[in-house]
Amino acid sequence: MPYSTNTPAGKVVQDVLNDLPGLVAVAVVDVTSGMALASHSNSPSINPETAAAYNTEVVRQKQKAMTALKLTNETIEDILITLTNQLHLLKLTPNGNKFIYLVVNSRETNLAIAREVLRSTADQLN
Amino acid sequence: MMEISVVSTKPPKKIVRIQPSIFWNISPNEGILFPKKIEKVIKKMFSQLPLLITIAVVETSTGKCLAYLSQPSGFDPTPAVACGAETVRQQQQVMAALNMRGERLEDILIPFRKQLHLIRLAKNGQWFGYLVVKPQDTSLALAREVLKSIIL
Repeated sequence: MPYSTNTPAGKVVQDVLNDLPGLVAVAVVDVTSGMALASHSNSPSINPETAAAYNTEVVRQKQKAMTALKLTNETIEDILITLTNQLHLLKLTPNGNKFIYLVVNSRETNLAIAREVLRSTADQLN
Repeated sequence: MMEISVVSTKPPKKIVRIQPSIFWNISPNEGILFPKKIEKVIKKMFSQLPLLITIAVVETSTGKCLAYLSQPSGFDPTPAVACGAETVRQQQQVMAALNMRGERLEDILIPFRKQLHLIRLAKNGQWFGYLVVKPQDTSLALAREVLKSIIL
């Protein structure tokens, strides 16, 4: 999606894209609605809007699981999903109402750098 | 001494699930859509979102509800879809008034506090799907994606 860099979400997408130009896709997603606030994809096979909608379910189910287990003093910081050739990272904001969704190629990207980029840019989001 | 235990011989309670059925409102050879296509759309929506409140297939020009499926506890969407069709027609008027070229109205999302209403137009704009879900069961984006994948 073409995103505006005047919004916090757009700035986050731009920052992540600047630090990880080889990424496959990135999106800033609102957990309640599941809608992508800003997104960018370098691959025609990944539609970031669709990915955002379905990955929101992942986050919500995990939040439900934590409620069911009465883990009230814990918050989800991030979720890392390892696929055959890809890594999917979901980095939640501290208050848990938004997350950054990042897709990278496992062979081409340094996981430590990716996590650090997400960690620093997630603080910009409220 | 032999202990005789009496086992209850009552048959186990059968749990009967009431499957919602599709309500039809058209005669078999009528109109803009084959009944098979309507049935496919409704059945696919129900299989992907079994917790939906209502899914209806509506003709845009008249607002007539061609067929719908509602939960047993749900409501008859006929008045709602007529208003939905009015909304769609108004947006189509906006497009005409602004001379939008190469534009197509794809969907309309109406999030209420306790319900989400989604309208997804078909490519030719002659009919649309009207979906009502609860936000606890599915997020707005997910309902939109599911609707998008079925009504292309």
